[in-house]
Amino acid sequence: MEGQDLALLLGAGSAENGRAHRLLLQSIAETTRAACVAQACSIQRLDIARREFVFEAVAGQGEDSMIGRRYPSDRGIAGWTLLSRQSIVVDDVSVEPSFAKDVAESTGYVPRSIVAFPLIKDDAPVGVMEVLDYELDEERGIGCLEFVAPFAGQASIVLQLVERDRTVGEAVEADAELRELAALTSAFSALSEEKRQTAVRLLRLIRELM
Amino acid sequence: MTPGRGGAELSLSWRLGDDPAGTAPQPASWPHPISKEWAWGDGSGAGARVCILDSGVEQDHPQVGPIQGAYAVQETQGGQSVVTEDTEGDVCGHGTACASIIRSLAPACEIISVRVLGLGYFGSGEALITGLRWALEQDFDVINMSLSTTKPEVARTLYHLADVAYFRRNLIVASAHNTPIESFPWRFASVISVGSHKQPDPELLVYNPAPPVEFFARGDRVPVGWLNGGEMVCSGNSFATPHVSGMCARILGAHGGLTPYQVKTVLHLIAGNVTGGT
Repeated sequence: MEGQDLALLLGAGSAENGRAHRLLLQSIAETTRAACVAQACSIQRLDIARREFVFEAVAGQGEDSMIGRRYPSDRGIAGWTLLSRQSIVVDDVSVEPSFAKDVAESTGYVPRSIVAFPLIKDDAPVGVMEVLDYELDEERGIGCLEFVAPFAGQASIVLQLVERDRTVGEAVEADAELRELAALTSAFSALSEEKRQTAVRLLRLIRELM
Repeated sequence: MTPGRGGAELSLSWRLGDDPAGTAPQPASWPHPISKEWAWGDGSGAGARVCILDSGVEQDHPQVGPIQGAYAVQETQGGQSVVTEDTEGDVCGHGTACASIIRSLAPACEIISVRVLGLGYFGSGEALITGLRWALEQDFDVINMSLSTTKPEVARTLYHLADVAYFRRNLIVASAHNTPIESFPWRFASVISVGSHKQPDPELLVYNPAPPVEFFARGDRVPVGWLNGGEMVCSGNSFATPHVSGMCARILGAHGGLTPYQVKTVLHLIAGNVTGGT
């Protein structure tokens, strides 16, 4: 685990940060959907180890059922988008039966149009943002990519934070010492002001002994 | 597949008169002004060999027809990536879309597909390098790359291969990003980088005097071939790029042996915002 991650772990309110990051990601999906007047917007995290996309945030169609759902990451529009690092708009997908079926199986909804954006952070692929059935008549086509791009940029940053939260959580789960430290931090943050001052004095004594 | 000049590296010439690549035919004289009619010849692209590095191409798609070769980068048991003949076709539809655009502009050119997408994310950079190196070995006239990589360690090798391609007259046509993402190879001066304009004319080329994107072609609501003989309407720079590849196939079909430098100059001179596309 990197130092900054450990610092985050030991910082008061790290669990709250994690919740805030997930809420922020969901908020980006909802804002994008609203701004595009779209039927749905999803932000999908790439799980490299399992070669799958995981729905981390969904607004609109599928928002009640899609979070946490997975599908193979090296096929279809989303897979191509991320592998090629190229964004794409596809209209009238319903004319291509196999594609519509693929999308339906992965999202639970058959769209007419789809905007797919690769989410890249620090040179690494982190996921994909998809907007389904947008209704920006004057911004259709290539203009839609320009419109969605800033939202995708936000999603890239927050998705990386969510991934870091998860990595930290898994590291704590797997490491007894870190679990102990996390429990100590949690107990410390729950103390009253008076008891916290006492605890700080004790910790200073321990540090001197070390 | 008949290999080209062997290897994917340069034979160097140090003095005027050294000609390790063989004497390529050159136009006896250059017309003035350069017109689309002269540049594109009969517009068929006959004689030009175009390689598509992408997701594969669906054989005998109505908008593509027969292609002259299908290959894929595969991983051996020892973990090495190699290029082998392929029967799987297109794993996504995007490569078929690119092929359909190139065919619409240069119906008689040869098209050879190399699937470089499909090994997953760990192997994607290596697959791209392996596919491009193989394409250079085959000495294709045009190499369409509607894709890019953000990996710096891959970019270094790509940079070298793009230079080799430039000097060996293998023209790389690469998609630019439409967002401020640092990716490659489109940022290299040795390739032709392509973005999108919003006009519906597939033959309209626009020169950009403020690179790194050098040319814009049709990338907005483009009707393309897709999987299972289907069609879709797509937008993005990755669809503008094969328009320019098709134009390059026309030029090289009519004027074999032009260097990338010369082809880029011809493209500039026939751009709609330079000469009015005369």
